[in-house]
Amino acid sequence: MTGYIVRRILWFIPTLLAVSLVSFAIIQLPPGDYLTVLESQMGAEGDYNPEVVARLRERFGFDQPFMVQYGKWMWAMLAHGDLGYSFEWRVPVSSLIGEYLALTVIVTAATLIATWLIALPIGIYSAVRPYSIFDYIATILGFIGKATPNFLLALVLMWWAFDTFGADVSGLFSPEYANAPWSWAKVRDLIAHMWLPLIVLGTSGAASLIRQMRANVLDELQKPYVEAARAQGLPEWKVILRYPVRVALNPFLSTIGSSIPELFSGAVTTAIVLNLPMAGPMLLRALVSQDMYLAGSFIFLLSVFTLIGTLISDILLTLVDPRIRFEES
Amino acid sequence: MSNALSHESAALKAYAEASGWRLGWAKFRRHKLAVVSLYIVGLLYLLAIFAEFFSPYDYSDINRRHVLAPPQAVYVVDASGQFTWPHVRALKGQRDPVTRRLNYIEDPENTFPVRLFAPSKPYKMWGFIPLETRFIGVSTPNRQASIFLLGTDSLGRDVLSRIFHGARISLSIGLVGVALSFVIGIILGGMSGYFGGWVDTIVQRTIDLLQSLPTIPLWMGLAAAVPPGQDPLVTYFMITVILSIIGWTGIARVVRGRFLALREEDFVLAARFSGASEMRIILRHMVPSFASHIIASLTLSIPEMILAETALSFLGLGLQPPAVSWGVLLKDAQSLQVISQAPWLLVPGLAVVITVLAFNFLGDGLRDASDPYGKV
Amino acid sequence: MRTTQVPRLRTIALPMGIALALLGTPAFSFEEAPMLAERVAAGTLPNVDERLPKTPRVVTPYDEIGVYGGTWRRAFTGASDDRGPQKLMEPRIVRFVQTGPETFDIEPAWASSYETNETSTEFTFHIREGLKWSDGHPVTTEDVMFYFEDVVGDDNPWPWPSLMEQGDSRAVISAADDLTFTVTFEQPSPLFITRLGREYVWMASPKHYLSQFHPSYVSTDELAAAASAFNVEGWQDLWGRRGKAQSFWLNPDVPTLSAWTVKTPPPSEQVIFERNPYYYAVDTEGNQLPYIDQISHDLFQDVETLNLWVAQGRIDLQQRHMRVGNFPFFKENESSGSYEVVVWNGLEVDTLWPNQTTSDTVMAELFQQADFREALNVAIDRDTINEIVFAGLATPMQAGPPKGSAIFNEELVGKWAGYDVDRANELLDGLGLTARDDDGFRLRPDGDTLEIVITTALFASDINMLELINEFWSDVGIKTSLDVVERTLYLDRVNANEIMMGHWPMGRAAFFLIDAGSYAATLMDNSWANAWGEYQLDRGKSFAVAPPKDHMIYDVWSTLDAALTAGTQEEAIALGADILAMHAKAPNWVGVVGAAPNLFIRSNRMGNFPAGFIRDDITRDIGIIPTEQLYIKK
Repeated sequence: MTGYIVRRILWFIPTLLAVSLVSFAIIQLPPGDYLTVLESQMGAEGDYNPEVVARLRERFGFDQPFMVQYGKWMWAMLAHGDLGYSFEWRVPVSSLIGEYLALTVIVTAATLIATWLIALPIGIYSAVRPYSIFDYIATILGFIGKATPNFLLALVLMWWAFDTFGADVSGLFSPEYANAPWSWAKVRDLIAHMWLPLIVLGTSGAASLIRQMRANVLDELQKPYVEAARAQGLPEWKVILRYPVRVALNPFLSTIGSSIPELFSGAVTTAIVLNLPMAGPMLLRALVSQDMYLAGSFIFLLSVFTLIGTLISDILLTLVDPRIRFEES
Repeated sequence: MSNALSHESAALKAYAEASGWRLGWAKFRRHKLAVVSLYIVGLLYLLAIFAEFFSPYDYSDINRRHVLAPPQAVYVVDASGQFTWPHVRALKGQRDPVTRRLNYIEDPENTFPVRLFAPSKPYKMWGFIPLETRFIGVSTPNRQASIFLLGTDSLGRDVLSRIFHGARISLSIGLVGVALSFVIGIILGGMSGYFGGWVDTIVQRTIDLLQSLPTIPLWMGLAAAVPPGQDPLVTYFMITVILSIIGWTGIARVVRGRFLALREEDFVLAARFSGASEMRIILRHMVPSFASHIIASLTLSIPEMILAETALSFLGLGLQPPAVSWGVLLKDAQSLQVISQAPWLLVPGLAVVITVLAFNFLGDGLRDASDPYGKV
Repeated sequence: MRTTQVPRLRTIALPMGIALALLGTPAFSFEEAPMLAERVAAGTLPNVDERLPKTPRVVTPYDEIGVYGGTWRRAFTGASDDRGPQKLMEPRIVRFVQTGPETFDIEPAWASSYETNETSTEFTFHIREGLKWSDGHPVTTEDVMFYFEDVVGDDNPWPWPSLMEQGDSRAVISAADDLTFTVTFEQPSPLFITRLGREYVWMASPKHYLSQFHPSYVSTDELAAAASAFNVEGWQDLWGRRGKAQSFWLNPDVPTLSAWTVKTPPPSEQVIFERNPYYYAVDTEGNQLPYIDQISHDLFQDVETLNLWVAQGRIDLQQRHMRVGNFPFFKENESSGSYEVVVWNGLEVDTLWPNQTTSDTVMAELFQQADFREALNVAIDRDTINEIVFAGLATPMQAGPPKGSAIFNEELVGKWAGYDVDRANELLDGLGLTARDDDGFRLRPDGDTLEIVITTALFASDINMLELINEFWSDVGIKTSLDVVERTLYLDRVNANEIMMGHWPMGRAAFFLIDAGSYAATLMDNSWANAWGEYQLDRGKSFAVAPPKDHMIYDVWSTLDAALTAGTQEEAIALGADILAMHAKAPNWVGVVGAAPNLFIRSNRMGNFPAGFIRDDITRDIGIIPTEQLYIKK
C-alpha cells in the first residue's frame, strides 16, 4: 500500500510539469499579446504613442521565443516561488492572487459540503423508496438545477432577491468590509453573502451526486447481508445507515477529485455574474487583456489544486477500500 | 475443432446479444421519464431540422412595429364572449414618455384567426427548397397581423422562430462534438484498455492532465485563440473541437474500463483461442458488447456540450450574432433590463433546460437498459 | 506682446450664473473640512491659510454652497479602467469649463494665469504663489523643469509627449523664476492651450519625492532598493502612466495637485481616494474645496452588477459604463435606488466608413462616386434606427461635429441624412447598377453581386443598428454582411487596409482640430480611405498610394496643415470650418445617429451637479465641471 501511495505521489511531479507547460501554452495561443491589447486601449483613448509600446515590449521581454519565456517563468517559480508579474496591475502575481485563490477554495469547499449535505439524504431516501413520488420529484428538481445555465440562474436569483427582499446579494462582502482586515464581523458578512453562490453552484452539482448515491445504496440494499440485518430485527433506518450507506459512501470519495475542476469551472460564470472576488473573473479579465503570467498562474494553480484533490481522494480511497490496493499491485 | 468452437461461441454470442438488446429495450420502456424524453428529443430534432417550416417567421425578419412585444395570447373567445376560431389580437405599441419603455396593448376589435399551414412570404427550406407555407401563422396578410407566441426581441424578431433556428446549432453542436469525442475516445480508450502497459500509462496520464485543467479556463484560452470574425461555420467547427478536447476523456475512460473487463471474458478468450485476429476480436466481439454502454454515456455528454456552448457564448467566446444559437439568444437575455421588463427573452433558457433534462433522462434510461441483467 | 488670459472658443458666453469666477484675493477668511480641522487641532497639519495658495482658485458652486463630508460611491472595472477614476480629478494646469448650453472654454487651474504671444509660439505660465503639493511641499518651476528634463524625453522614463512638438522640433521650456516658465515653439502652435486641456501631460512632477527613484539623482543600489520596496522588477516600472511610484492612482505617497489623493490603491476590490488637504481651490465663501471627503470605487466584472448597484442605490454619481440602452431600466428604478437619471449630450456619431481605397477595386471605385455614397446614405431610415436602437433619444444625423462642438457646420450634419428610397434607387440605377441577381440584389459592373462587408469590433458597436442597416440596404438591392471582430483584430485589419467598410463612432468632436484624423482619413479606425491616409502619414506601409489628382483630400490636408500652424486659435478655427465645408459638399462617410444622451446616475443626496452639459473625451468627460464643488447632502 505504501508503495502505491509513493508511486502515486511520484507521478504527481511529471504531471505538474506537464500542467505548467500546458497552462503556459494556453495563454500563448491567442494572437497578439498584452501590448497589442494596450495599443488598442490607448488608441480608443486617443492617447496612442508607439514609443511607449516599443519601450514596454523590450522591457517585458515579449520578443523572446516561447520556450525561453516558459523556462524563465518556471525557473523563477521553482527558484524563488515567483509566479511572474502582472502587466495589467503592475504587481507580482503572487501578491495579487492569494486572496482570490483563498476565497475560491473557501467557496468551493463550502459548496462541496453543502451539496453533500443536501444530496446524500435525498439520494439515500430515493434509494429506499425508488420510483416513488419523492424519488421522481427529487430527481427532476436535481436535474433542473443541473440543466439551468449557472449564469442565467445567478442573474435571475440576484434580481429576484433584490426585487423581493431588497437584499444586497452581489459580491462576497458588503462594501464596508471589502477592504477591512479579517474579523468575526467580516466572517459573518461573508457567510451572509454566501447563500446565493451556494445555491447556484450547489444546484448544478447536486443532481449527479443524488443519482450516484441512489445507485450505490440501491446496489447495497440488494445484498444478502442487508436481509440478514433485517432478519435480526434491527429498525429499518439503522439497517440502512449502519451498512449500506457506509459502503455506498466509498465510491463517493473518488468524486472529490473530479468534482473540484467542475466546481471551479461552474464558479467562473457564477462569480462573474455575482461579482464574487474569486479566481474566475480575475482570470477572465487576465485572459482578455492577455496579462499572461497572471492568467497562466491562475490556470496552473487551479490545476494544481485539482491534482492535489485527486491525489488525496485516491489515497483516501486506498486507505478505506482495500480492494484497490490489490488491484493496483 | 477450432472451427467448431468458434461456431459455437458465435451462436452463443448471437443469442446473448440479441436477447440483450431485446431485454434492454423492454427495460428502457419501463423507465417512463426516459421514454417521454425520447419523444421530446425526437421532437426537438424534428423542429430543428425543419425549423424554417415550423417557425412562424424568418428568424432574422425585423419587425419595426413590434419591438420587444410580449407574447401574444391565442384567444378562443371573442370580445363579445362568444366562442370563435382561435385568434390573436392586434398589438399596438406606445412608448412611455418618461421611461421610454415600449408598452403594448391588445386591440380586442382587431383580431386575426390563427391558421395551420398558413401562407407566408416565400422562403427557402434549407436554403434551396422554395416554399410559401408555414406550419402556423395568421391568415390575414396585413401589416398589423402578427403572431408572436413567445414575443419579440429588441429588433422585433420572433423569439419562437429564433429558438427553432437556434436549436439547429445548439442541438447539432452536441451531436458533432460528441461524435468527435467518440472517435478520439474510442480509439485512445480502446488502445489504452486493450494493449495496457505503457500505452495505457500514457493515455491515462494525458486524461489525468486534461481533467485536472479547469475546463472553462481551458476553453477560454482555446476559444480566445479562435480568431473571431471567421466564417461562422469555422467558428462553429472550432467550438465543437474545443468542446471535444475535454469531452473525449470521459468516453475513453468508459471504453478502457469495458475493455479491461472484457479482455478476460470467456467469449473473447474463446475467439482468441479460435485464432481470430486482434482487429476482428475488437470489432466483432468486444465493441458490440459494450456499444449500449457507450451510447448511454454519449447521450449523457450531449447535454454537457449544449450547456458548454451557452457558457462560451456568455463569456463572449462562442458564436457571435447575427448567427443564432441558444447561447447567443441567452447572452442577449443576460441583462437586468430583460429580466425586469422583457422576461420572455429568457424562454431560450427554458429550451435549454428542457433539452438538457430530456437528454439526461434519456441517458439514464439507456444506462439502465444497457445493463439488462442488472437489478431494478 | 498680445496677452489673452483666456482664448475664447465661442464669442458668446451666456450669463448662466454657473460660470466660474476668477476673482482676486478674496477678502474673507478660509474655512476647512471638519476632518482637516481635527488634524490641525492635533497639530499634524498646518492652518488652512498656510495650506492654500495666496490666490486660491475660486469656484462658483452650481446651485448652492455645499457642506463638508461624505463618500462619493462609484464603480470601476479593473486596471484598464484607470482613466475613469482619474478623470474626476486630473491635476491639470488648465481645465475646460462649460460656459453655456453649447459653449465651453478653457481656464487656468493650478496656474494662476498664462499669456500667449501673437504668433502662438510662446506660452508663459504663472504658478499660483504658495501652491503646494498634497504633502505640503511648495510647487515651483523646479518641478516643471524636472518633468521636462528628467521624466519625459529620450533617455528618460517616459517618451517625449507629442503635444510638446510642432513640426519637426521640440518645444523649449525655460523658467524665468520660481513661479514663471515659458514654453517656446519654433512654429506657431495655436491649439497648444486647448490641447493642454486634454492631453496626458501634467507639466510638473514632484521633484522632491520622485527624484529618489531617478538614476540621475541616486545610485543604482538605491534604485534597486526602491524597486524592491515597491515590489517591482526594476526602477523603470516605477515610472509612467502605470508606474508604481509616479502614478497618483497607484501610489498613495506620491504628491499630487488633484483634489483627492489615493488612499487605498488598486489592486483592491474597493479603491478609495481621500481629500487633498492642500488643494488649491475654494468656493465663493472661502471654504476650501473639495467638499466631499472620500471617493470609493467598487470593482465590478459584469456590467449587470453595476446596473444592480444602480437600482440598489449604491452609486452616487457616475456616467462611465452606463449604457443608453438601459435607459428604461434606470428610469423605472429611480425611486427604489433614490437617484435621478441626468442626461448630458454626447458628441459621438455612429458612423460607417466606406473605404474608398479598399483592395476590392470595383467597390473602391463605387465608394469614390458621390452618387453611390449618397444612395447609401439616403437609403437609411435614421429615425427608425433612433427609435428602435436608441429608444428615440439620439439624433439622426450625418457624421460631423454635433451641435455644441467648438467648430460646427449645420450643412454637414444634415447632408444626405433624410430617408428617400426612391432617390437611392434612382441614383443606383443612374450609376448603371440595374442588373439584379436571383435574390433581387444588384450586380456590380463586373457581374458579381453588389455586397458590402461591414467590419465592426465586438462590444464597440450595436449589432442591432447594423442589422437594421442591412435591411434598409437590401431594400434598395444592396447586400450586406457583418463581420464582427474583436477590437485588436479590427485595428490589425484597419492597419493592413483589409476592411471594405468599417463601423466605428466618429468621436472627439468637441474640438475636432485636436484630433482631425477622421477628416483627413489619417485616423485609421475612422478612415474612409486607408491607402490615402497612409500616403499622407508616410509610415512606409506598402499599400499606401497617392489620391487621384485634384481630389478634395489634398485641400483638406493643406487646410489642416494651415490650421494647425495658424497664428491664432481664431484663425485655426476658421480654417477648421473650411474643412467641414469641404466635406459637407459630398460626405465621404455614412453617419447614422449621434449626439446620443449620456446618462449620469446621480443619487438624490448628491448636490451641485448640473444637467445638459456636453460630454466628450476632449473636454474630459465629467471633468468639464469642477468635481470639487459636488457635495453630499446631509
